[in-house]
Amino acid sequence: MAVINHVAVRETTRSARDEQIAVLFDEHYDRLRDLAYIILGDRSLAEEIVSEAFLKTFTGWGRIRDIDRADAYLRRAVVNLCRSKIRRKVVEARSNAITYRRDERKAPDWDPDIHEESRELWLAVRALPVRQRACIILRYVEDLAEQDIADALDCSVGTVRSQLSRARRKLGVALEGVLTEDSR
Amino acid sequence: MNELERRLKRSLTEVRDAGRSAAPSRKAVAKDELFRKMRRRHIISTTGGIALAGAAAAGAFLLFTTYTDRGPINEGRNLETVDLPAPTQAVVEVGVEPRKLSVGGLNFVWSANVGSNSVSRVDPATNEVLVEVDVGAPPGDISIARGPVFVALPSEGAVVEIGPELGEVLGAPIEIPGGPTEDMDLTVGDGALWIVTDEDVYRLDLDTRELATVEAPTSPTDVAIRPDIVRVLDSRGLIYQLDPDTGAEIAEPLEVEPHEDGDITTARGSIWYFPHGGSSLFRLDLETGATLGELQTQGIITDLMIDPEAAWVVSRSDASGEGSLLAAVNADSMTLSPPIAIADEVGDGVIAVRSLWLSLPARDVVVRLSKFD
Repeated sequence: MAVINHVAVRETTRSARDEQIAVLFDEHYDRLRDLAYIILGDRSLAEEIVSEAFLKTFTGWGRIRDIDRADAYLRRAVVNLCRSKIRRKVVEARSNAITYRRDERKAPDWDPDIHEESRELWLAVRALPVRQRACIILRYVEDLAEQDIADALDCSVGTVRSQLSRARRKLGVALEGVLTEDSR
Repeated sequence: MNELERRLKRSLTEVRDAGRSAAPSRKAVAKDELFRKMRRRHIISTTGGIALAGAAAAGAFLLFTTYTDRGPINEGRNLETVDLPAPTQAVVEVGVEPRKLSVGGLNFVWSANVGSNSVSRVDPATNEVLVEVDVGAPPGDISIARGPVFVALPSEGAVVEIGPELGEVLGAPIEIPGGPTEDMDLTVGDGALWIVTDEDVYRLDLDTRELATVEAPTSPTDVAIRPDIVRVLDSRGLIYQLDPDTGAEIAEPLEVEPHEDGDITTARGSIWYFPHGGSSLFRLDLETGATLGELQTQGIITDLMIDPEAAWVVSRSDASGEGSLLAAVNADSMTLSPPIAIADEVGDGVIAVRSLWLSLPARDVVVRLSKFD
């Protein structure tokens, strides 16, 4: 079969790129896996997501303008992939509501030492709409500033503020029985 | 930081740390696997192909992507090259992670690139990207009026308008009263842009730029427009029939089976409907909503492309969502051609210029395939 097209030939040094990706992997893998895990509640899936994010980084290497910000690019990729995964699960859930409910609500592999309040809180966070969930986790686990959250989620700072505010309000209501009145 | 925030921080950190210590790290294995995939992706991109396959019913023939692992060409160089066997027409590199596609004036094909916050305009005459426009947030759907191009920004709860020639963003974003949403579908028809979010339907008058909320449907999922009627499907399987000028109901809703949300299209004198997450495609009577025909695909249907000459259905070939199947639909007999395997997830598809255009998000490309030989 005759070859008739060649598209987007890019000349970069593969070994140098691979070396940089290896360094990024060593530096950021654990943190990114933790981030994906706490969004998704599934360790295996979190590892898959992070590998996929690195693979996307590899395929889009030519588009990374600032290598020093590659960690931000990776974080954005992980969050976006988590969101896609959750959206896909929601779509699939419409054809299989029982499975979805079981998958989404099942307790992950709990460490028995985790306090009951932490479990309740995480379950409440995981019940939030996916973007609000991501905002809460990036803010309180990753300690990101609003601008960095906006960068990670590809939205404005105003949107981050409103999403955080809505999420906190929902959590306050959802955790009414868990948190004491003065704690909210 | 108030008490709730302190507890959030403490509890979520505790959960994260527990997750970290509960299982041995697979980091080394994951790294090996990543580099193996990178090598394969490199090999794939240098030798991968889109091969010819038969499209049974119409006698048309199509191409499918089947990436093979035949060893590297030009070892030591990063040749991100896609080699295509004839008669594939083109692979067009657009922005990062293209998903939704749309066709507009002069048959320009537009792709919404989620990963680069941009939309690209492809000229079908040359198969080249003429312009890539930064829209500032991940674009959802694209819909094209006679002039302007409308791009949904679900995460911003807004729609931006782009000039079709120069690709400049025109004016301020049109903000949707419901704010940010997970999904936002756009459809232009009969002097208005119809915007469907998770919860509401809006009608933007293209002359006055007035935005009105359409009251009738609850939990809408898709809209299909004909000159005299707008049909909106809701999540209970009801198709509302609305006046294109006012958005008011002009007839009783049609009830479709199964009672689920999905996608609807009006074409060839029928309503075409597929429920989300299912593998059934229904052809429905335009007046009554009664089922005229039904077919089953392999995998979950993700898209239907239909025009007066051809119809194609895309489905996901496996649970991971990474592979797709493409099959031609014989609209009269409601049968499918043998499915064609595509190695990647297909983001979206459109028919234009006697070609099928498919977005492949993982490869940052739009592929143009021969609709007929």
